[in-house]
Amino acid sequence: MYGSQTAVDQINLQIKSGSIFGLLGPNGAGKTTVIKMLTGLSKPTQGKALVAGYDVTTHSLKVKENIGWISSEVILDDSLTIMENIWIQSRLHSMNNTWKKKATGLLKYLELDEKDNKKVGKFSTGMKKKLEIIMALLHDPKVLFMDEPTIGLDANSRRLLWRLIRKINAQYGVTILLTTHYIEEADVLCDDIAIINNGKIVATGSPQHLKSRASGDIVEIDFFSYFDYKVLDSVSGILKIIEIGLDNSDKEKRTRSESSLRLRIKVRNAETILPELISKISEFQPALIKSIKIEKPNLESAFLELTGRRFEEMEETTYDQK
Amino acid sequence: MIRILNQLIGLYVREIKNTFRSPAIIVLSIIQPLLWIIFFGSSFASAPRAFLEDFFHTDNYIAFLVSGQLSTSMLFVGMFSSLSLIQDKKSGYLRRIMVTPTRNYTIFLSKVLGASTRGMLQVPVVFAGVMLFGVQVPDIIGIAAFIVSLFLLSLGLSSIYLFLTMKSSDWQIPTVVSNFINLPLMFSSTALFPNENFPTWMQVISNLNPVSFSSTFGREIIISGSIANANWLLFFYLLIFATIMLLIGVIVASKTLKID
Repeated sequence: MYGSQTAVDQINLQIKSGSIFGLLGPNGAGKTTVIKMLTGLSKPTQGKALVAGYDVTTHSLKVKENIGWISSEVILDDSLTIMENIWIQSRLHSMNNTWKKKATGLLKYLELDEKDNKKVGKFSTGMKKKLEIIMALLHDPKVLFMDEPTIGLDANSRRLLWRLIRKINAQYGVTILLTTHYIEEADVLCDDIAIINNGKIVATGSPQHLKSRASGDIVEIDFFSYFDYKVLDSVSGILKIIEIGLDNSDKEKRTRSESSLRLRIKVRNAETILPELISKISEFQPALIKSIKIEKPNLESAFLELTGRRFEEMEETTYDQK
Repeated sequence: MIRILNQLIGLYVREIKNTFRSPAIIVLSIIQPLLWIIFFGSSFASAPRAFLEDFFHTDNYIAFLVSGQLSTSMLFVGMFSSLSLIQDKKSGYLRRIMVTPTRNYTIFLSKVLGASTRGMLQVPVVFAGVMLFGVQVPDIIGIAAFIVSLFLLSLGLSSIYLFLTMKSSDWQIPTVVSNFINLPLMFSSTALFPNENFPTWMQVISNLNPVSFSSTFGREIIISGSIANANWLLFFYLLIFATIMLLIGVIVASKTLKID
């Protein structure tokens, strides 16, 4: 808790050694707070956490000996060279003379070996991220924490970093806990995921398992104008219809004359239902439909199923609240 | 113990490298005390010799002022330890350090040692400069003793600055603290004038003021040319002052230093 605000609320997680675990949630869900508690940067108000076998509250120094950490922002000393930054990291972990050999190996692995005497301030974000990875792996940690590792990177750099993360996990066997608000990232990278929202874990499991919870397809239809969509209830195969964008009180006041309507319709199978759905709508009023989007079960729809809202909607709310 | 030493060395070297990041700032901050001594010290250049001997116990006010000016410089050096910590908080680097098994007091000690080392850079420049104004530089043992006393003063003052501003991430705080404590400490010490003519209440402050200990100790060495006439009790007081402030700083850092 921060003051009277609960940032993380009674979470319960178990992460398999050697796996890549994703903590997926929109901005403000509590992901960074979880990382801060597990890395000893923040004390939990209550509860217990073990990292690499050590209690984060009573043995925080032991925890820190066994973890590496990569922040969402790049945090390096820009006025120093790569080797100077790495040397300081080696001192902070009290490494013996093997640090240089390890550093040289990692620099070569991550293709930074020809730049080791250049000042870090002149590097691109991607190169700085690589240096952060080197510094995090230098002391052979058991657990690597990555807080939004690909934020700020373009799509290509993001994919390269995903590949690198998988390689590191395979090569060094290090357990990786990463936080992200990119659903695709969690889906592609992680062996297991926990979905977090408003400080609470809403679901855990492998990406496959979570996708299977999103039963059925989602059809989102934008209409040019409002109509009484209760007529659609008679279409078989429809599981649920939700009007997006209005709370219940506003729905009472809505009239026919108001423009635009968006419906999110959960169906058993979109391909089967769509013809009948369109036919029913056209019967009521032709040329009413503006656009149709079909979504097969994925993490996005699993999140929607579990929380009732899309990721972007959660993030917009957080942005508006700020 | 070895782990703590390794961590301290790593962070201290970083402080030193950051000190030399901007050569222009280094040059200006080293030359500034010398300019102060020359300009302020020349204010009594035409005063009668008898007055100077009687009031300052020397016929050269610059010789009187050297130790005082170097001692008051340590007040401003202390501010750098605070600014360095705030810089690390704002840039996030403090977070990077605190995710490693580095204890808070190691971070504190690296800042204090870094600031104090920075303060020592001006000493040789000042001594070289005042020689041109007829000041006799003491023998090597005398200089060494004075430098150690300055270092102790700097350790103590940097510790005070740091533990007063430990929780802050506001750039303005060290400046405000500096304005609040530096001028009173400077004027209530023997840095600029002997304290024999201070009012009683100010003499009491002066006799307890660590800047006075360093100023007087150094002055005795500079004017006599060696440690022969130095009052070692003042050095001992500085040692106690530095030790107590460092201990307080270590305790405060252990309990309160955190990222924002």
